[in-house]
Amino acid sequence: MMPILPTLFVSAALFTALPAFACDEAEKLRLAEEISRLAAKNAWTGVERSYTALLATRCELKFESYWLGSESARFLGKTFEQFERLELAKKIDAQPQVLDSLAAIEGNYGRIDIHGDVRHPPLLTRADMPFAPDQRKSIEWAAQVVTATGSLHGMLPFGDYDVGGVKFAVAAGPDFQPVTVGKVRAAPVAKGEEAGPEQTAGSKGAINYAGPVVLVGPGFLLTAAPEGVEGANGIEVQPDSVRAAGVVAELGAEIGLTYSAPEAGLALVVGYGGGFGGAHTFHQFSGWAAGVLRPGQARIALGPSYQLVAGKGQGIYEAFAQGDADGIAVSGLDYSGYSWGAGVRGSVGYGLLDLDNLRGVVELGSAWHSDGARSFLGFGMTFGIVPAVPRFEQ
Amino acid sequence: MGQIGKIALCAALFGVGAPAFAGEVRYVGEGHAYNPMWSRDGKYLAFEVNQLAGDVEMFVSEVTGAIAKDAVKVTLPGGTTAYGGKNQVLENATWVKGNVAVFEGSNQGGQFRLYTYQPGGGAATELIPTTQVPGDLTFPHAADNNSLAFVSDATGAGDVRIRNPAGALSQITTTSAPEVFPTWLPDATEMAFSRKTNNTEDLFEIIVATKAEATISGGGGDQTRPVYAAGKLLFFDDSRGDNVWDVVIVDSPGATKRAMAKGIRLPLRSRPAVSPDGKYLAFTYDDPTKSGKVVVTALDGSASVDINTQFTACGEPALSFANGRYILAYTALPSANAAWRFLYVEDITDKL
Repeated sequence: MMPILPTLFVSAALFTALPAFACDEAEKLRLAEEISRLAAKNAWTGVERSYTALLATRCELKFESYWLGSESARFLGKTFEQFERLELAKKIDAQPQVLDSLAAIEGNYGRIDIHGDVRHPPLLTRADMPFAPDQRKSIEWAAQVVTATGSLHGMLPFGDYDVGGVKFAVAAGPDFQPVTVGKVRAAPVAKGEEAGPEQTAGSKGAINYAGPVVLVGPGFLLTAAPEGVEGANGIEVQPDSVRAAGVVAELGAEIGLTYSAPEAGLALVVGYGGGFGGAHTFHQFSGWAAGVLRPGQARIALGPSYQLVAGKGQGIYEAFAQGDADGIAVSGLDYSGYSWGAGVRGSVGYGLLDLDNLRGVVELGSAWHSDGARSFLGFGMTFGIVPAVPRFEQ
Repeated sequence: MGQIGKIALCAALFGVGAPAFAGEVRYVGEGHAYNPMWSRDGKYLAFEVNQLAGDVEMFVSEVTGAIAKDAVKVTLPGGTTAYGGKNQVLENATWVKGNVAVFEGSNQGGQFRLYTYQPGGGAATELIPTTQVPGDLTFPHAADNNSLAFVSDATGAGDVRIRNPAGALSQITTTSAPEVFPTWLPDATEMAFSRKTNNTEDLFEIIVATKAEATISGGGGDQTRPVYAAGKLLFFDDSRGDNVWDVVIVDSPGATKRAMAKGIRLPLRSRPAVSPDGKYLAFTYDDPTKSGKVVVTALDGSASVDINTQFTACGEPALSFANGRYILAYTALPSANAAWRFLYVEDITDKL
């Protein structure tokens, strides 16, 4: 039998270490060179991608990286991100051009905080689009963000706008101007009614995402000998305490039911847990209805489950050796039988691989069940796929 | 000279209280100043500085009532420092409404693309991504409604394309001969351009909606860089002989050419310098003995004024007309042995 506690400890350490690695200096250098090369070719989408990857190295960045990151943000219309990156560049080296760019943003853009419904995102529009492409892109990007998320915390060129029928003007100032959008009009083409301007980017369905859940990995089973169960003159014949290692497998589906982060959903999973080796063999079959929370790339699932256990082995619990069975060597007695009962199961995982509509995850899970006489405690570290949460990358 | 140049406010020369002024436009660095281009409201002046070392820099100066402010250098995105990359070429500016300059830019020996620059707006921004139109984009020219004409070599030969005010792109010419210098009729319904045929440039006019084309002027020599003024078309013409340039005018396609100025000094890139109100033409002479002056002549032939300067090799004139004042910009050598041409602006209202 595998040593359970050390294995769990290693697994937990590995799991927690995955998302929080230290500075990758070599990768930072490679990406910094890549950014310069892409910038020289005006490949700003690539620069933005490399800049994002550069941030993920958790390294301290140089002036050039922040400067080119600000340029890529500008090209893409991410004015507030451009402003933030310029501020970081300024802290390293307050070059005149950086100061000019900051002043240019302050002189042409205002801060805005739009709050709308992510399920019914409003449309952000401006009647007279400016000629300057960076200002145009800023508006287009902001409209894209509002359409995808219902909200915007960013900067827009000075001027008059409409978001979901709420008119507002963007002006200079250090503070974010709040704009709250109420219920937006979906399709104003009612019979006998003059069609007004579209105010919503469309409604989103009740289900945000859906996909399979397939997980497999090593598992461990602990079930202590029961207490207070009658012995040989009674009914129950229970195995002694059992510790067994084996596998855990889960198969099911998950749907997302909310759009705001952290997204929440529901998973229905059937599972198998096997404990083998030594004197005991256990097969656990379970059904699990879990509430799921998806903060960032993490996945937290918790909910009730019901399991059926089939076990056989050698070693009856000590309490059996009384009455008529007094003096019997219970450790040599074979047993087999079934058990069932309800419990609760939970898991915490992290998505490491982007597989388009799916996400490759590693999870730590645990389950507790009771058949009324004894409890079953299971642990597992699983790898597999879960549905990816569609998110608008800002 | 540029670095040590000074603004020579000469309002006093024109009388106390008069808004007239004259002075050099200062910029940081050295090089020949070329191709001044006024914004539509006459508030800004974009110009190029060429060090003859591979780079062509662009500067923009704000020209207020009585002063030309220190020019700000325009940088292309893509340099690894905030000052931009090396080997950047920025040239051929045109202005759209709202004081946005559109110009050609090439970063580190790459393709020429169109960029925009707004004074006070930070670094330049690429206007049309390569995903929309690949290749070199050159010769931008803006109409009154901010429609932009330019030349693209995406098909192998330079073709005129337009970008309408909403940003939509379309191709106007499709010939195998290269077209250059598209120039809008201000209302954006028609445009004139040069087309290179038989090793010389001829002038054509096209109706944008129908793409119906008419020859404005052809034949021997080059006829190039058209500009509309008061319903007529002016352009440079060297049909009298190689590198003997005249400014000529035609009333309509195929009409007889009339010379407005003969033996002029051909600007490096710009079209004939016509005032925004279509009344005046400014030019300089190629003859060294006459190179110390800029001539401003009325297009209706009613007057011609010599703007005498204290400089030599005057050229590259550009006229603005705003708030009732005519401002002339030109480049010149400040003295016969000067290393670099500098840029000078002068209020000539009282001389006209």
